[in-house]
Amino acid sequence: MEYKKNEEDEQPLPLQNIDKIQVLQESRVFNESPIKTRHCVFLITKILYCLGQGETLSEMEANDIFFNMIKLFASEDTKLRRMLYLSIRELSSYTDQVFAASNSLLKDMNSNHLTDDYKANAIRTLRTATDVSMFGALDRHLKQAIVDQSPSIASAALVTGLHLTDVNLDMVRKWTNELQSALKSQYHMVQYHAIALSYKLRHNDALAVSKLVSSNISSFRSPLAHTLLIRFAVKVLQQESNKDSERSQSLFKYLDTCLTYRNDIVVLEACKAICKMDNLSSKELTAAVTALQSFLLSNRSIQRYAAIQILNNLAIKFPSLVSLCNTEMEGLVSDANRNIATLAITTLLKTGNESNIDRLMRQITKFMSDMPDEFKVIVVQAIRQLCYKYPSKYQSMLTFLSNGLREEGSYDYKRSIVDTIIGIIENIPDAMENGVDYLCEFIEDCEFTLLLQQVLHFLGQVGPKCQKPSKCIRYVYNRVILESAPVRASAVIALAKFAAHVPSLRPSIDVILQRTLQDNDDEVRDRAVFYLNVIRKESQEEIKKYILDPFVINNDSLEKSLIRYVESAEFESPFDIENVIHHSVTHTNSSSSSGVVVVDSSDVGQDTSSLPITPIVAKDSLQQSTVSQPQESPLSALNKVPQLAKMGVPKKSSKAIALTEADADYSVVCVKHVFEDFIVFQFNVKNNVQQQKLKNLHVEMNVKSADGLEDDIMIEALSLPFNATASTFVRMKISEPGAQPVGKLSNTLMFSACEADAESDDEGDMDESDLNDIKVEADDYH
Amino acid sequence: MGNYFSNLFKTLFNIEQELRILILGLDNAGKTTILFQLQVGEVVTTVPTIGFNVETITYNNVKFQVWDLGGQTNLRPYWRCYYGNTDAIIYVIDSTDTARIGTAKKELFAMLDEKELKDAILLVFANKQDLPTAMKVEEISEKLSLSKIKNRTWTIFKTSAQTGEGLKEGLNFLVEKIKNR
Repeated sequence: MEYKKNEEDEQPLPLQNIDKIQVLQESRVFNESPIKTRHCVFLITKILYCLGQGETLSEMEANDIFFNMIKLFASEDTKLRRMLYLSIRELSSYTDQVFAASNSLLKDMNSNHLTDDYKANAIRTLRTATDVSMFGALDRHLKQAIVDQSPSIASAALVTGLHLTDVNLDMVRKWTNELQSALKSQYHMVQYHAIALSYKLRHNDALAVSKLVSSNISSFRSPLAHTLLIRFAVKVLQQESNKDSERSQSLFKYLDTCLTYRNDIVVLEACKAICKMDNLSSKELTAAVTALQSFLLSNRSIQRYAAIQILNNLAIKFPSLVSLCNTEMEGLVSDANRNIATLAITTLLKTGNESNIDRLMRQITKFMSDMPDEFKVIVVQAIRQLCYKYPSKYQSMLTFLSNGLREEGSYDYKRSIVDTIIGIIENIPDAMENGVDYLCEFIEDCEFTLLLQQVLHFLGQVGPKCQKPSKCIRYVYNRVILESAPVRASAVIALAKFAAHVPSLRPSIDVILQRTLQDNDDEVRDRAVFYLNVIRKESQEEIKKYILDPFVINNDSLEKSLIRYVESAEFESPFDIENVIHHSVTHTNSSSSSGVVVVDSSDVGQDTSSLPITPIVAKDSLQQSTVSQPQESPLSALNKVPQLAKMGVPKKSSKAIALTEADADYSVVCVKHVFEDFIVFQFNVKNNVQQQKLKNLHVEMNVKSADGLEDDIMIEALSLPFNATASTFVRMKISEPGAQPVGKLSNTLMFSACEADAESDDEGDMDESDLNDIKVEADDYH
Repeated sequence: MGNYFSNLFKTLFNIEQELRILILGLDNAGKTTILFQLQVGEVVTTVPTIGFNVETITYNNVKFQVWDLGGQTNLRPYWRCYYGNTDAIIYVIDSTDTARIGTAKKELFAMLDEKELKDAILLVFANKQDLPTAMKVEEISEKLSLSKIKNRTWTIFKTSAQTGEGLKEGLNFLVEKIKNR
């Protein structure tokens, strides 16, 4: 056979390098008469191999293969038949035409000369080939198969039923009698599949599920079926509000008896179920923990793993309960299986108390060196948690962590340690001196630029507050001499911060910085020059502004502004970074992350700060909702307009921007509300002209340079009497989802004016008034 | 003469090749019942065939591989997948189905146009002759315009799958014609 021939060759895999097209052409073999069984089996193997390698078939190719191949049903050869089943299942995902095999499969199902296993496979294959029109014919055969003597046939039919519930639930529902007898089957697998199907049929009905569970508790012998029952029982218990009801009690009792079941899978499943329940007291959990304790000593690693994992989760809520198993868990720290060892260590760390932490840390240190880095990272994270819990123990943990820093290790491992030390320093003031020392020592010998920079930045912030800042400076200065340019630049920044914080050190740092002026990298030199200048001015204000205040800039908006600038290709005017920086800083200062900004009239700008806005309650019924009171937030005005209210809360609302002089005839202030796909411009117009009433106000906006915004809807203010304020809205659509268009828009206020005491049907004269441009900036979106 | 020897040879050593026969026709014409009547000699209850049935029948020392293809409208387009290497077609007509005899004719002639069936012998079975409402063979022959078929060996039999009437005659005819080919 070809298999053997190839095995003797040097080529290790007989099917390597086969080509789909070539295989498809070969499929003519299927048509030959008499059937060449061996050849066909090998060809189907090739086809399956191709599909397994990720090749796909077009529907036409699949149909071609299928209709050629289906003729092989004429052969009685069992090997060939098995390949046919397999390939029909595969092809069913490429073409619907496989239903044409239904009749042949149905015949196999009821065949007298095929073995039970083949019949079972025929049933399973039939499910993939089946077509809605077949259900009528299928029903009788499947019912018969469920009660078949052979467990494999019964299981196949039950599993098919499970799949069919998705397409024809009503048909499967009628199998109650057959299901009942399958539940009583002497075969474990049949029971297992029967309970799964029974549950699927009634999983929406809590009462029926609980009946299903309670009626089968005593009769089941299959461990797998019991694991399912346990899961169903948990679901019922979770839905049950009354923990003391009779039903809950009996289910609890069932779970408890499962803890003493003679099959390990069932016991583990019961432990898992009990430990996962969130309303149990530690007393109710004790039995499960005791059962798990004995699994920790099992000689099968899978059982140890399962047990320690459950305990690990449980330890978050019940550390003292889990600490009962401490002796066993300490034994697992040196387990040959690293997953188990790591879980044991982290569990121990969770259950640790102040008295045994020191011992625990010593013990772990012994085994840490054998562990792969990924596991060490997990341990470090657990230590971080522990340290927050017992701050007084920071000493031994810092020692442990610093040992880790000295060892060889990957970037991720080192980073997790550095993060943890930084976290400890930030949270435990006492730990600062020690922690900073360890970090200083670490940067003396660190190969990761990113970590070096992170530590230098942190030292710049914290170092000056140490008792002896000068000690730190030595380490930082060493970096300036020894490291690569990016690190040197970071070190220069850190030095500048020391100088800014500690005036007494300024002369020495001045000397150091002067030396770096000779650096051969311009990034380093530039920084040195800049900071030297600032420090030498001795102006506290400038030092604060340029060194101490964080230079916050939103990277997203900076990137977008830059891309926009490059794309616009108008390089005559230089890139204006002011907007990006300025807005970003104010944004972080106001920290209005909720996106709701209340208009503060003093913030609107000098021109409008004197704007006398007198609250006037709308008297005219025509004014309706459009007249808003000046004190209320712009959002409430938005909410009064039905079309806009349903859009929900904006991502961000800008501050009010004045578009006119405050004492103009009609003063206008604009607020930008940014939504996911829209920007709503709210114009608050105030009428300052006595004897005049404005009607039908709206603002006409013209998109000057803000590409990507489209006119959408406009909402008029109907009427505006003297000295009142009304809101009119323009909604613009962001044409490209996710885009953040920016640019300028010009605005014209349109209205008709009439005498204040005119009749309500007087239309007045149309008039308009130009307003200042509105800028939409990247910062509006963040 | 060569033909004679080869036939003799085949008969003597019984290494005869199987004959490939397709049973076609509209749904509910009785194709599956005919197949099993031919194979086991009794009437079996059938359900509409989705896909096909294939059985091997030995008659007068001749082996037939008989394919009975489902006749429902949605299955008919796939008949063509089975045309290759076909020696004979048995086209089954439901003699009581006067309403669809036109459809039966259309499908028949569409099939006869196929290149792959150029050399296949055609047997039309006017089935269900045991029923009182059945049309006469002559009437069916005329309605199907069988006389228009040229360049092909064909014939029509009155049959009943229930009683077995006419089936043996059909096979005899087939054996005869193929032996002479």
